[in-house]
Amino acid sequence: MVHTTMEGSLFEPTLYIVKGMCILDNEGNRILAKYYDKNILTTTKEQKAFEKNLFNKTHRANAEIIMLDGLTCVYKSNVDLFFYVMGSSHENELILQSVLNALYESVSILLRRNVEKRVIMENLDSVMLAFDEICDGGVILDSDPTSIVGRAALRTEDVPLGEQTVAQVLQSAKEQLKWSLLK
Amino acid sequence: MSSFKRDKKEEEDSGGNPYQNLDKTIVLQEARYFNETPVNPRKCIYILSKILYLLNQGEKFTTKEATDVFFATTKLFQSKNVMLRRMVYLCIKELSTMAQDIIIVTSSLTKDMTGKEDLYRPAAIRALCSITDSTMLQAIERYMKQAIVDKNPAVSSAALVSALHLSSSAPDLVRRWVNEAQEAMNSDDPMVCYHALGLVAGLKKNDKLSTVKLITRYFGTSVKSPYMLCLLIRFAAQMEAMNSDDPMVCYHALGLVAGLKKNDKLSTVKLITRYFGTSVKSPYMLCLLIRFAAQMVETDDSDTSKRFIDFIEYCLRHKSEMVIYEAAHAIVNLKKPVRDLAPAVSVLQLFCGSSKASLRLAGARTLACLTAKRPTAVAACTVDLENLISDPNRSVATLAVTTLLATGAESSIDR
Repeated sequence: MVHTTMEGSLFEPTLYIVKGMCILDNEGNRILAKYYDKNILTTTKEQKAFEKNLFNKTHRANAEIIMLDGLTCVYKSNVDLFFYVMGSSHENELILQSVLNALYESVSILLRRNVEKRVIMENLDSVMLAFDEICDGGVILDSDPTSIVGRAALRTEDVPLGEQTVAQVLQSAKEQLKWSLLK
Repeated sequence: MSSFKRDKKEEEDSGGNPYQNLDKTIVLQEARYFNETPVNPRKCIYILSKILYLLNQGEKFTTKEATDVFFATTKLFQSKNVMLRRMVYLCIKELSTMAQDIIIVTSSLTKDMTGKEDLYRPAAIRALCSITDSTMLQAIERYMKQAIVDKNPAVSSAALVSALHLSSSAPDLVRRWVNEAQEAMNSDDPMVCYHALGLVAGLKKNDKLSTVKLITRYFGTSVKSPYMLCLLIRFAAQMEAMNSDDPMVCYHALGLVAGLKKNDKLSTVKLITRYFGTSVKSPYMLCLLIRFAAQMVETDDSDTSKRFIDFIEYCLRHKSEMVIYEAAHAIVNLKKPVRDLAPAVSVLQLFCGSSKASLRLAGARTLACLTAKRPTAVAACTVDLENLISDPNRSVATLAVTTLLATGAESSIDR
Protein backbone atom coordinates (compact mmCIF):
# COMPACT_ATOMS: atom_id res chain seq x y z
CA MET A 1 0.00 0.00 0.00
CA VAL A 2 1.19 3.44 -0.84
CA HIS A 3 1.74 5.62 2.16
CA THR A 4 0.73 9.19 2.39
CA THR A 5 3.34 11.48 3.74
CA MET A 6 3.25 15.14 4.37
CA GLU A 7 6.67 15.33 2.85
CA GLY A 8 6.72 16.93 -0.56
CA SER A 9 8.45 15.33 -3.49
CA LEU A 10 8.84 16.01 -7.16
CA PHE A 11 6.48 14.35 -9.62
CA GLU A 12 7.90 11.33 -11.34
CA PRO A 13 8.21 11.38 -15.13
CA THR A 14 6.34 8.34 -16.35
CA LEU A 15 3.48 7.56 -18.65
CA TYR A 16 1.93 5.30 -16.02
CA ILE A 17 -0.23 7.86 -14.31
CA VAL A 18 -3.66 6.36 -13.70
CA LYS A 19 -3.86 3.81 -10.88
CA GLY A 20 -7.50 3.00 -11.36
CA MET A 21 -10.89 4.07 -12.63
CA CYS A 22 -14.31 2.96 -11.48
CA ILE A 23 -18.01 3.61 -11.72
CA LEU A 24 -20.14 2.76 -8.68
CA ASP A 25 -23.90 2.84 -8.19
CA ASN A 26 -25.76 4.64 -5.41
CA GLU A 27 -25.16 1.83 -2.94
CA GLY A 28 -21.45 1.73 -3.57
CA ASN A 29 -21.64 -1.43 -5.66
CA ARG A 30 -19.25 -1.77 -8.53
CA ILE A 31 -20.62 -1.29 -12.02
CA LEU A 32 -17.22 -1.21 -13.68
CA ALA A 33 -13.77 -0.97 -12.18
CA LYS A 34 -10.24 -1.25 -13.44
CA TYR A 35 -7.01 -1.14 -11.47
CA TYR A 36 -3.77 -0.68 -13.34
CA ASP A 37 -1.02 -0.90 -10.75
CA LYS A 38 0.05 -4.44 -9.97
CA ASN A 39 1.38 -3.40 -6.59
CA ILE A 40 -1.77 -1.98 -5.06
CA LEU A 41 -5.23 -3.45 -4.52
CA THR A 42 -4.31 -6.75 -6.08
CA THR A 43 -7.30 -8.87 -5.08
CA THR A 44 -10.94 -8.26 -5.86
CA LYS A 45 -11.66 -8.36 -2.15
CA GLU A 46 -9.23 -5.54 -1.42
CA GLN A 47 -10.56 -3.57 -4.37
CA LYS A 48 -14.17 -3.88 -3.28
CA ALA A 49 -13.31 -2.99 0.30
CA PHE A 50 -11.51 0.09 -1.02
CA GLU A 51 -14.50 0.98 -3.20
CA LYS A 52 -16.91 0.65 -0.24
CA ASN A 53 -14.67 2.83 1.85
CA LEU A 54 -14.29 5.34 -0.96
CA PHE A 55 -18.04 5.41 -1.53
CA ASN A 56 -18.85 5.87 2.16
CA LYS A 57 -16.48 8.79 2.33
CA THR A 58 -17.68 10.46 -0.84
CA HIS A 59 -21.33 9.78 -1.58
CA ARG A 60 -22.73 12.49 0.65
CA ALA A 61 -20.06 15.12 0.33
CA ASN A 62 -20.05 16.39 -3.20
CA ALA A 63 -16.47 17.43 -2.96
CA GLU A 64 -14.69 16.38 -6.20
CA ILE A 65 -11.52 15.05 -4.59
CA ILE A 66 -10.35 12.96 -1.66
CA MET A 67 -7.11 11.45 -0.44
CA LEU A 68 -7.65 7.90 0.71
CA ASP A 69 -5.25 5.05 1.49
CA GLY A 70 -2.37 6.82 -0.19
CA LEU A 71 -4.32 7.45 -3.38
CA THR A 72 -5.65 10.72 -4.68
CA CYS A 73 -9.17 10.11 -5.99
CA VAL A 74 -11.05 12.63 -8.06
CA TYR A 75 -14.75 11.98 -8.48
CA LYS A 76 -17.99 13.19 -9.90
CA SER A 77 -21.54 11.98 -9.47
CA ASN A 78 -24.80 12.21 -11.29
CA VAL A 79 -28.23 10.90 -10.23
CA ASP A 80 -27.28 7.41 -9.04
CA LEU A 81 -23.80 6.98 -10.53
CA PHE A 82 -20.37 7.81 -9.10
CA PHE A 83 -17.29 8.14 -11.30
CA TYR A 84 -13.81 7.90 -9.80
CA VAL A 85 -10.28 8.22 -11.14
CA MET A 86 -7.42 7.24 -8.84
CA GLY A 87 -3.76 8.23 -8.97
CA SER A 88 -0.79 8.19 -6.67
CA SER A 89 -0.84 10.77 -3.89
CA HIS A 90 2.21 12.30 -5.55
CA GLU A 91 0.38 12.93 -8.80
CA ASN A 92 -0.71 16.19 -10.34
CA GLU A 93 -4.38 16.40 -9.32
CA LEU A 94 -5.29 18.32 -12.42
CA ILE A 95 -4.05 15.60 -14.76
CA LEU A 96 -6.27 13.15 -12.89
CA GLN A 97 -9.10 15.64 -13.17
CA SER A 98 -8.64 15.80 -16.94
CA VAL A 99 -8.91 12.00 -17.10
CA LEU A 100 -12.06 12.07 -14.98
CA ASN A 101 -13.56 14.67 -17.29
CA ALA A 102 -12.74 12.50 -20.29
CA LEU A 103 -14.38 9.50 -18.60
CA TYR A 104 -17.48 11.34 -17.47
CA GLU A 105 -17.97 13.28 -20.67
CA SER A 106 -17.57 10.28 -22.93
CA VAL A 107 -19.94 8.17 -20.84
CA SER A 108 -22.35 11.07 -20.81
CA ILE A 109 -22.28 11.33 -24.59
CA LEU A 110 -22.62 7.56 -24.95
CA LEU A 111 -25.71 7.59 -22.74
CA ARG A 112 -27.12 10.59 -24.59
CA ARG A 113 -26.81 12.69 -21.45
CA ASN A 114 -28.96 10.30 -19.41
CA VAL A 115 -26.23 9.52 -16.92
CA GLU A 116 -28.04 7.06 -14.66
CA LYS A 117 -27.73 3.45 -13.68
CA ARG A 118 -30.56 2.04 -15.77
CA VAL A 119 -29.18 3.60 -18.95
CA ILE A 120 -25.57 2.70 -18.25
CA MET A 121 -26.58 -0.93 -17.79
CA GLU A 122 -28.28 -0.92 -21.18
CA ASN A 123 -25.10 0.44 -22.76
CA LEU A 124 -22.53 -1.39 -20.71
CA ASP A 125 -20.71 -2.67 -23.80
CA SER A 126 -20.02 0.84 -25.13
CA VAL A 127 -18.94 2.02 -21.68
CA MET A 128 -16.51 -0.90 -21.41
CA LEU A 129 -15.03 0.09 -24.76
CA ALA A 130 -14.77 3.71 -23.60
CA PHE A 131 -12.85 2.58 -20.50
CA ASP A 132 -10.52 0.71 -22.81
CA GLU A 133 -10.05 3.75 -25.04
CA ILE A 134 -9.27 6.17 -22.22
CA CYS A 135 -6.62 4.23 -20.39
CA ASP A 136 -4.37 1.34 -21.38
CA GLY A 137 -2.64 -0.27 -18.43
CA GLY A 138 -2.36 3.05 -16.60
CA VAL A 139 -1.24 5.10 -19.60
CA ILE A 140 -3.61 7.85 -20.68
CA LEU A 141 -4.48 6.82 -24.21
CA ASP A 142 -6.83 9.61 -25.11
CA SER A 143 -8.42 12.49 -23.25
CA ASP A 144 -10.71 13.88 -25.89
CA PRO A 145 -14.31 12.72 -25.26
CA THR A 146 -15.41 13.08 -28.87
CA SER A 147 -12.63 10.92 -30.26
CA ILE A 148 -13.12 8.38 -27.45
CA VAL A 149 -16.81 8.16 -28.23
CA GLY A 150 -16.05 8.03 -31.92
CA ARG A 151 -14.24 4.79 -31.29
CA ALA A 152 -16.51 3.34 -28.60
CA ALA A 153 -20.01 4.07 -29.83
CA LEU A 154 -20.31 2.10 -32.97
CA ARG A 155 -23.56 0.40 -32.31
CA THR A 156 -25.87 3.11 -33.57
CA GLU A 157 -24.14 3.00 -36.92
CA ASP A 158 -24.71 -0.66 -37.54
CA VAL A 159 -28.49 -0.42 -37.26
CA PRO A 160 -29.58 1.03 -40.58
CA LEU A 161 -32.41 3.53 -40.44
CA GLY A 162 -34.76 1.10 -42.09
CA GLU A 163 -34.32 -1.45 -39.33
CA GLN A 164 -34.95 0.94 -36.46
CA THR A 165 -38.40 0.85 -34.98
CA VAL A 166 -40.61 3.91 -35.26
CA ALA A 167 -40.26 4.41 -31.51
CA GLN A 168 -36.46 4.42 -31.74
CA VAL A 169 -36.47 6.99 -34.50
CA LEU A 170 -38.88 9.19 -32.56
CA GLN A 171 -36.82 8.81 -29.42
CA SER A 172 -33.58 9.82 -31.08
CA ALA A 173 -35.30 12.74 -32.80
CA LYS A 174 -36.68 13.87 -29.45
CA GLU A 175 -33.25 13.63 -27.82
CA GLN A 176 -31.65 15.61 -30.58
CA LEU A 177 -34.27 18.32 -30.35
CA LYS A 178 -33.96 18.45 -26.57
CA TRP A 179 -30.20 18.86 -26.72
CA SER A 180 -30.26 21.40 -29.45
CA LEU A 181 -32.65 23.47 -27.33
CA LEU A 182 -30.61 23.05 -24.18
CA LYS A 183 -27.41 24.18 -25.83
CA MET B 1 -53.72 2.45 -9.28
CA SER B 2 -52.18 0.45 -6.49
CA SER B 3 -51.23 -2.33 -8.86
CA PHE B 4 -49.69 0.22 -11.18
CA LYS B 5 -47.65 1.53 -8.28
CA ARG B 6 -46.48 -1.92 -7.41
CA ASP B 7 -45.46 -2.64 -10.96
CA LYS B 8 -43.53 0.56 -11.03
CA LYS B 9 -41.85 -0.32 -7.76
CA GLU B 10 -40.83 -3.74 -8.99
CA GLU B 11 -39.48 -2.26 -12.13
CA GLU B 12 -37.42 0.16 -10.14
CA ASP B 13 -36.11 -2.57 -7.89
CA SER B 14 -34.80 -4.68 -10.70
CA GLY B 15 -33.98 -1.42 -12.46
CA GLY B 16 -34.44 -3.25 -15.74
CA ASN B 17 -30.90 -4.33 -15.03
CA PRO B 18 -30.03 -7.15 -17.40
CA TYR B 19 -26.82 -7.83 -15.51
CA GLN B 20 -28.36 -8.46 -12.13
CA ASN B 21 -27.98 -11.93 -10.64
CA LEU B 22 -25.97 -13.28 -13.54
CA ASP B 23 -24.96 -16.86 -13.06
CA LYS B 24 -21.55 -17.88 -14.29
CA THR B 25 -22.54 -21.37 -15.44
CA ILE B 26 -25.49 -20.06 -17.44
CA VAL B 27 -23.39 -17.37 -19.09
CA LEU B 28 -20.72 -19.92 -19.93
CA GLN B 29 -23.37 -22.08 -21.56
CA GLU B 30 -24.61 -19.11 -23.54
CA ALA B 31 -21.09 -18.71 -24.89
CA ARG B 32 -21.66 -21.89 -26.88
CA TYR B 33 -23.95 -19.84 -29.05
CA PHE B 34 -20.82 -18.32 -30.59
CA ASN B 35 -20.33 -21.50 -32.59
CA GLU B 36 -23.48 -20.91 -34.60
CA THR B 37 -23.36 -19.52 -38.11
CA PRO B 38 -24.20 -16.98 -39.29
CA VAL B 39 -23.15 -14.89 -36.34
CA ASN B 40 -25.82 -12.69 -34.81
CA PRO B 41 -23.71 -9.66 -33.76
CA ARG B 42 -26.15 -8.14 -31.33
CA LYS B 43 -26.79 -11.30 -29.40
CA CYS B 44 -23.08 -12.14 -29.26
CA ILE B 45 -22.17 -8.63 -28.09
CA TYR B 46 -24.67 -9.03 -25.29
CA ILE B 47 -23.21 -12.38 -24.21
CA LEU B 48 -19.67 -11.00 -24.41
CA SER B 49 -20.58 -8.03 -22.25
CA LYS B 50 -22.09 -10.42 -19.70
CA ILE B 51 -18.81 -12.35 -19.59
CA LEU B 52 -16.82 -9.14 -19.26
CA TYR B 53 -19.18 -7.92 -16.55
CA LEU B 54 -18.68 -11.12 -14.57
CA LEU B 55 -14.90 -10.83 -14.90
CA ASN B 56 -15.05 -7.19 -13.86
CA GLN B 57 -17.06 -8.10 -10.78
CA GLY B 58 -14.21 -10.37 -9.75
CA GLU B 59 -15.84 -13.69 -10.64
CA LYS B 60 -13.20 -16.44 -10.80
CA PHE B 61 -12.97 -18.52 -13.97
CA THR B 62 -11.08 -21.79 -13.89
CA THR B 63 -8.42 -22.31 -16.54
CA LYS B 64 -10.70 -24.70 -18.38
CA GLU B 65 -13.68 -22.38 -18.31
CA ALA B 66 -11.56 -19.46 -19.46
CA THR B 67 -9.99 -21.51 -22.23
CA ASP B 68 -13.39 -22.74 -23.43
CA VAL B 69 -14.80 -19.24 -23.60
CA PHE B 70 -11.64 -18.02 -25.26
CA PHE B 71 -11.88 -20.60 -28.00
CA ALA B 72 -15.58 -19.90 -28.47
CA THR B 73 -14.88 -16.19 -28.97
CA THR B 74 -12.32 -16.93 -31.67
CA LYS B 75 -15.22 -18.16 -33.81
CA LEU B 76 -16.58 -14.62 -33.83
CA PHE B 77 -13.71 -13.43 -36.01
CA GLN B 78 -15.80 -14.45 -39.01
CA SER B 79 -18.15 -11.53 -38.38
CA LYS B 80 -17.20 -8.12 -39.74
CA ASN B 81 -19.29 -6.21 -37.21
CA VAL B 82 -17.05 -3.51 -35.71
CA MET B 83 -18.62 -3.42 -32.27
CA LEU B 84 -18.57 -7.18 -31.96
CA ARG B 85 -14.95 -7.30 -33.03
CA ARG B 86 -14.03 -4.69 -30.44
CA MET B 87 -15.78 -6.65 -27.72
CA VAL B 88 -13.90 -9.77 -28.80
CA TYR B 89 -10.62 -7.89 -28.40
CA LEU B 90 -11.64 -6.81 -24.92
CA CYS B 91 -12.47 -10.40 -24.02
CA ILE B 92 -9.16 -11.61 -25.39
CA LYS B 93 -7.31 -9.11 -23.24
CA GLU B 94 -9.26 -10.01 -20.12
CA LEU B 95 -8.93 -13.75 -20.62
CA SER B 96 -5.30 -13.67 -21.73
CA THR B 97 -4.04 -14.13 -18.18
CA MET B 98 -6.36 -17.05 -17.44
CA ALA B 99 -6.77 -19.12 -20.59
CA GLN B 100 -4.32 -21.47 -22.22
CA ASP B 101 -3.06 -21.54 -25.81
CA ILE B 102 -4.11 -17.94 -26.34
CA ILE B 103 -1.53 -17.54 -29.11
CA ILE B 104 -4.05 -19.18 -31.42
CA VAL B 105 -5.56 -15.77 -32.20
CA THR B 106 -2.23 -14.24 -33.21
CA SER B 107 -2.84 -14.60 -36.92
CA SER B 108 -6.41 -13.23 -36.74
CA LEU B 109 -5.22 -10.23 -34.79
CA THR B 110 -2.24 -9.68 -37.06
CA LYS B 111 -4.63 -9.69 -39.99
CA ASP B 112 -6.82 -7.09 -38.28
CA MET B 113 -3.93 -4.85 -37.31
CA THR B 114 -2.61 -4.74 -40.86
CA GLY B 115 -6.05 -4.62 -42.45
CA LYS B 116 -7.84 -1.70 -44.02
CA GLU B 117 -10.43 -1.13 -41.31
CA ASP B 118 -9.14 1.77 -39.19
CA LEU B 119 -11.69 1.07 -36.50
CA TYR B 120 -10.15 -2.34 -35.82
CA ARG B 121 -6.49 -1.57 -36.07
CA PRO B 122 -5.62 0.28 -32.85
CA ALA B 123 -7.60 -2.11 -30.68
CA ALA B 124 -6.21 -5.14 -32.53
CA ILE B 125 -2.66 -3.95 -31.87
CA ARG B 126 -3.31 -3.57 -28.18
CA ALA B 127 -5.00 -6.95 -27.93
CA LEU B 128 -2.20 -8.60 -29.88
CA CYS B 129 0.50 -7.14 -27.69
CA SER B 130 -1.32 -8.27 -24.57
CA ILE B 131 -1.16 -11.92 -25.67
CA THR B 132 2.31 -11.85 -27.21
CA ASP B 133 5.36 -13.00 -25.31
CA SER B 134 8.94 -12.13 -26.15
CA THR B 135 9.45 -15.23 -28.28
CA MET B 136 6.49 -14.41 -30.49
CA LEU B 137 7.29 -10.78 -30.68
CA GLN B 138 9.77 -11.21 -33.49
CA ALA B 139 7.04 -12.48 -35.76
CA ILE B 140 5.06 -9.27 -35.45
CA GLU B 141 8.01 -6.92 -35.22
CA ARG B 142 7.70 -5.69 -38.77
CA TYR B 143 4.03 -4.83 -38.32
CA MET B 144 4.69 -3.07 -35.05
CA LYS B 145 7.32 -0.86 -36.68
CA GLN B 146 4.88 0.03 -39.42
CA ALA B 147 2.10 0.72 -36.95
CA ILE B 148 4.26 3.07 -34.89
CA VAL B 149 4.76 5.35 -37.88
CA ASP B 150 1.22 4.92 -39.18
CA LYS B 151 -0.42 8.17 -40.17
CA ASN B 152 -3.55 7.31 -38.21
CA PRO B 153 -2.87 8.74 -34.71
CA ALA B 154 -4.96 6.10 -32.95
CA VAL B 155 -2.94 3.31 -34.56
CA SER B 156 0.33 5.01 -33.77
CA SER B 157 -0.61 5.69 -30.14
CA ALA B 158 -1.83 2.15 -29.64
CA ALA B 159 1.43 0.74 -31.00
CA LEU B 160 3.57 3.07 -28.88
CA VAL B 161 1.74 2.34 -25.66
CA SER B 162 1.80 -1.39 -26.37
CA ALA B 163 5.52 -1.16 -27.04
CA LEU B 164 5.96 0.60 -23.70
CA HIS B 165 4.17 -2.25 -21.95
CA LEU B 166 6.26 -4.81 -23.84
CA SER B 167 9.49 -3.01 -23.05
CA SER B 168 9.36 -4.32 -19.50
CA SER B 169 9.36 -7.93 -20.69
CA ALA B 170 11.39 -7.68 -23.89
CA PRO B 171 13.48 -4.52 -23.65
CA ASP B 172 16.10 -5.58 -26.19
CA LEU B 173 13.58 -6.23 -28.91
CA VAL B 174 11.56 -3.10 -28.34
CA ARG B 175 14.78 -1.06 -28.36
CA ARG B 176 15.05 -1.87 -32.04
CA TRP B 177 11.91 0.18 -32.68
CA VAL B 178 13.44 3.35 -31.39
CA ASN B 179 13.89 4.94 -34.80
CA GLU B 180 10.22 4.51 -35.61
CA ALA B 181 9.25 5.86 -32.22
CA GLN B 182 11.46 8.89 -32.76
CA GLU B 183 9.78 9.48 -36.05
CA ALA B 184 6.43 9.35 -34.28
CA MET B 185 7.64 12.13 -32.00
CA ASN B 186 7.30 14.47 -34.97
CA SER B 187 3.63 13.68 -35.30
CA ASP B 188 1.07 16.48 -35.29
CA ASP B 189 -1.15 14.55 -32.92
CA PRO B 190 -0.60 15.61 -29.30
CA MET B 191 -1.21 12.16 -27.82
CA VAL B 192 1.12 10.44 -30.29
CA CYS B 193 3.99 12.79 -29.38
CA TYR B 194 3.33 12.22 -25.72
CA HIS B 195 3.33 8.45 -26.01
CA ALA B 196 6.35 8.50 -28.29
CA LEU B 197 8.36 10.62 -25.88
CA GLY B 198 7.45 8.34 -23.02
CA LEU B 199 8.51 5.27 -24.95
CA VAL B 200 11.72 6.64 -26.41
CA ALA B 201 12.88 8.10 -23.12
CA GLY B 202 12.03 4.78 -21.52
CA LEU B 203 14.10 2.81 -24.00
CA LYS B 204 17.09 5.07 -23.75
CA LYS B 205 17.45 4.99 -20.04
CA ASN B 206 20.92 3.51 -20.32
CA ASP B 207 22.06 5.82 -23.03
CA LYS B 208 22.09 9.06 -21.19
CA LEU B 209 23.59 11.22 -23.86
CA SER B 210 20.91 10.38 -26.37
CA THR B 211 18.19 10.87 -23.79
CA VAL B 212 19.42 14.37 -23.26
CA LYS B 213 19.49 14.97 -26.98
CA LEU B 214 16.07 13.51 -27.30
CA ILE B 215 14.50 15.74 -24.76
CA THR B 216 16.39 18.78 -25.94
CA ARG B 217 14.73 18.39 -29.29
CA TYR B 218 11.50 19.64 -27.81
CA PHE B 219 12.87 22.83 -26.44
CA GLY B 220 12.01 25.68 -28.69
CA THR B 221 9.28 23.82 -30.43
CA SER B 222 5.66 24.16 -29.55
CA VAL B 223 4.39 21.03 -27.94
CA LYS B 224 0.67 20.55 -28.35
CA SER B 225 -0.08 17.89 -25.80
CA PRO B 226 -0.48 19.03 -22.21
CA TYR B 227 0.32 15.50 -21.06
CA MET B 228 3.54 15.59 -22.97
CA LEU B 229 4.50 18.90 -21.46
CA CYS B 230 3.87 17.48 -18.04
CA LEU B 231 6.12 14.57 -18.85
CA LEU B 232 8.85 16.84 -20.12
CA ILE B 233 8.57 18.97 -17.02
CA ARG B 234 8.89 15.89 -14.88
CA PHE B 235 12.06 14.92 -16.71
CA ALA B 236 13.44 18.34 -16.13
CA ALA B 237 12.59 18.14 -12.48
CA GLN B 238 14.09 14.71 -12.26
CA MET B 239 17.39 15.79 -13.67
CA GLU B 240 17.43 18.28 -10.94
CA ALA B 241 16.80 15.73 -8.27
CA MET B 242 19.57 13.64 -9.68
CA ASN B 243 22.26 14.61 -7.28
CA SER B 244 21.83 11.25 -5.65
CA ASP B 245 25.07 9.27 -5.85
CA ASP B 246 23.34 6.68 -7.92
CA PRO B 247 21.25 8.39 -10.55
CA MET B 248 20.02 5.10 -11.93
CA VAL B 249 18.44 4.24 -8.64
CA CYS B 250 16.38 7.39 -8.84
CA TYR B 251 15.49 6.60 -12.36
CA HIS B 252 14.29 3.11 -11.91
CA ALA B 253 12.32 4.21 -8.95
CA LEU B 254 10.83 6.94 -11.05
CA GLY B 255 9.89 4.46 -13.69
CA LEU B 256 10.67 6.50 -16.71
CA VAL B 257 13.90 6.57 -18.06
CA ALA B 258 15.41 9.80 -18.78
CA GLY B 259 18.69 8.66 -17.37
CA LEU B 260 20.81 11.67 -17.78
CA LYS B 261 24.39 11.49 -16.81
CA LYS B 262 25.69 13.92 -14.29
CA ASN B 263 28.48 14.68 -16.72
CA ASP B 264 25.95 15.46 -19.38
CA LYS B 265 24.69 18.38 -17.47
CA LEU B 266 25.61 20.75 -20.22
CA SER B 267 23.40 19.05 -22.75
CA THR B 268 20.61 18.75 -20.24
CA VAL B 269 20.83 22.42 -19.60
CA LYS B 270 20.72 23.09 -23.30
CA LEU B 271 17.79 20.79 -23.61
CA ILE B 272 15.68 22.48 -21.07
CA THR B 273 16.75 26.00 -21.87
CA ARG B 274 15.60 25.57 -25.45
CA TYR B 275 12.06 25.76 -24.17
CA PHE B 276 12.55 28.87 -22.14
CA GLY B 277 10.91 31.85 -23.66
CA THR B 278 9.17 29.84 -26.31
CA SER B 279 5.48 29.34 -26.27
CA VAL B 280 4.89 25.76 -25.38
CA LYS B 281 1.29 25.10 -26.25
CA SER B 282 0.76 21.91 -24.37
CA PRO B 283 0.25 22.34 -20.63
CA TYR B 284 1.15 18.69 -20.07
CA MET B 285 4.44 19.23 -21.77
CA LEU B 286 5.10 22.34 -19.75
CA CYS B 287 4.45 20.35 -16.61
CA LEU B 288 7.06 17.85 -17.66
CA LEU B 289 9.48 20.62 -18.47
CA ILE B 290 8.93 22.11 -15.05
CA ARG B 291 9.71 18.76 -13.49
CA PHE B 292 12.93 18.56 -15.49
CA ALA B 293 13.90 22.07 -14.66
CA ALA B 294 13.31 21.53 -10.97
CA GLN B 295 15.52 18.50 -11.11
CA MET B 296 18.26 20.49 -12.73
CA VAL B 297 18.16 23.12 -10.04
CA GLU B 298 18.78 20.48 -7.41
CA THR B 299 21.89 19.11 -9.07
CA ASP B 300 23.39 22.25 -10.34
CA ASP B 301 25.29 24.67 -8.16
CA SER B 302 26.37 26.99 -10.87
CA ASP B 303 24.61 30.08 -12.12
CA THR B 304 22.62 28.07 -14.62
CA SER B 305 20.33 26.81 -11.93
CA LYS B 306 19.02 30.32 -11.63
CA ARG B 307 17.77 30.12 -15.18
CA PHE B 308 15.82 27.03 -14.36
CA ILE B 309 14.24 28.70 -11.40
CA ASP B 310 13.41 31.64 -13.63
CA PHE B 311 11.78 29.31 -16.09
CA ILE B 312 9.68 27.65 -13.42
CA GLU B 313 8.68 31.00 -12.04
CA TYR B 314 7.78 32.11 -15.51
CA CYS B 315 5.45 29.15 -15.74
CA LEU B 316 3.55 30.47 -12.74
CA ARG B 317 2.01 32.95 -15.13
CA HIS B 318 0.80 30.35 -17.62
CA LYS B 319 -2.89 30.33 -18.41
CA SER B 320 -3.42 26.66 -17.64
CA GLU B 321 -4.02 25.87 -13.98
CA MET B 322 -2.35 22.53 -14.44
CA VAL B 323 0.92 24.19 -15.38
CA ILE B 324 0.67 26.87 -12.71
CA TYR B 325 0.22 24.23 -10.08
CA GLU B 326 3.05 22.09 -11.43
CA ALA B 327 5.35 25.10 -11.26
CA ALA B 328 4.29 26.17 -7.78
CA HIS B 329 4.64 22.59 -6.56
CA ALA B 330 8.14 22.35 -8.01
CA ILE B 331 9.28 25.62 -6.45
CA VAL B 332 7.96 24.72 -3.05
CA ASN B 333 9.54 21.28 -3.09
CA LEU B 334 12.99 22.30 -4.24
CA LYS B 335 15.55 21.24 -1.68
CA LYS B 336 17.64 24.23 -2.47
CA PRO B 337 16.40 27.40 -0.83
CA VAL B 338 14.72 29.57 -3.38
CA ARG B 339 15.35 33.27 -3.21
CA ASP B 340 11.73 34.18 -3.19
CA LEU B 341 8.92 31.81 -2.41
CA ALA B 342 6.29 34.51 -2.40
CA PRO B 343 5.01 34.19 -5.99
CA ALA B 344 4.54 30.43 -5.65
CA VAL B 345 2.89 30.82 -2.28
CA SER B 346 0.51 33.46 -3.55
CA VAL B 347 -0.50 31.20 -6.43
CA LEU B 348 -1.21 28.41 -3.98
CA GLN B 349 -3.08 30.91 -1.87
CA LEU B 350 -5.28 31.72 -4.85
CA PHE B 351 -5.87 28.01 -5.39
CA CYS B 352 -7.12 27.73 -1.81
CA GLY B 353 -9.91 30.13 -2.67
CA SER B 354 -10.88 28.34 -5.86
CA SER B 355 -14.36 26.95 -6.40
CA LYS B 356 -12.88 23.65 -7.61
CA ALA B 357 -12.14 21.22 -4.84
CA SER B 358 -9.22 19.69 -6.74
CA LEU B 359 -7.54 23.05 -6.85
CA ARG B 360 -8.20 23.75 -3.19
CA LEU B 361 -6.79 20.37 -2.23
CA ALA B 362 -3.78 20.82 -4.48
CA GLY B 363 -3.14 24.23 -2.94
CA ALA B 364 -3.65 23.15 0.65
CA ARG B 365 -1.58 19.98 0.22
CA THR B 366 1.37 21.83 -1.21
CA LEU B 367 1.17 24.48 1.49
CA ALA B 368 1.10 21.72 4.09
CA CYS B 369 4.35 20.34 2.67
CA LEU B 370 5.86 23.77 2.80
CA THR B 371 4.88 24.25 6.43
CA ALA B 372 7.28 21.55 7.49
CA LYS B 373 10.18 23.33 5.85
CA ARG B 374 9.39 27.01 5.84
CA PRO B 375 6.63 27.81 8.32
CA THR B 376 7.21 31.52 7.94
CA ALA B 377 6.47 31.42 4.24
CA VAL B 378 3.04 29.94 4.89
CA ALA B 379 2.20 32.55 7.49
CA ALA B 380 0.76 34.83 4.83
CA CYS B 381 -1.84 32.20 3.97
CA THR B 382 -3.15 31.69 7.50
CA VAL B 383 -6.42 33.44 6.78
CA ASP B 384 -7.02 31.44 3.61
CA LEU B 385 -6.29 28.22 5.41
CA GLU B 386 -8.64 29.19 8.20
CA ASN B 387 -11.38 29.63 5.64
CA LEU B 388 -10.72 26.09 4.48
CA ILE B 389 -11.38 24.61 7.92
CA SER B 390 -15.09 24.67 7.20
CA ASP B 391 -14.57 23.43 3.65
CA PRO B 392 -17.25 21.02 2.43
CA ASN B 393 -14.48 18.70 1.26
CA ARG B 394 -13.17 16.90 4.29
CA SER B 395 -9.75 16.12 2.86
CA VAL B 396 -9.25 19.81 2.25
CA ALA B 397 -10.49 20.73 5.70
CA THR B 398 -8.27 18.16 7.40
CA LEU B 399 -5.22 19.38 5.54
CA ALA B 400 -6.01 22.95 6.49
CA VAL B 401 -6.35 22.05 10.16
CA THR B 402 -3.11 20.09 10.22
CA THR B 403 -1.26 22.88 8.51
CA LEU B 404 -2.64 25.50 10.86
CA LEU B 405 -1.76 23.42 13.90
CA ALA B 406 1.79 23.20 12.67
CA THR B 407 2.11 26.91 12.03
CA GLY B 408 -0.19 27.95 14.84
CA ALA B 409 0.65 31.08 16.69
CA GLU B 410 -1.03 32.53 19.73
CA SER B 411 -2.60 35.28 17.71
CA SER B 412 -4.61 32.83 15.64
CA ILE B 413 -6.19 31.07 18.59
CA ASP B 414 -8.74 33.80 19.14
CA ARG B 415 -10.02 33.52 15.62
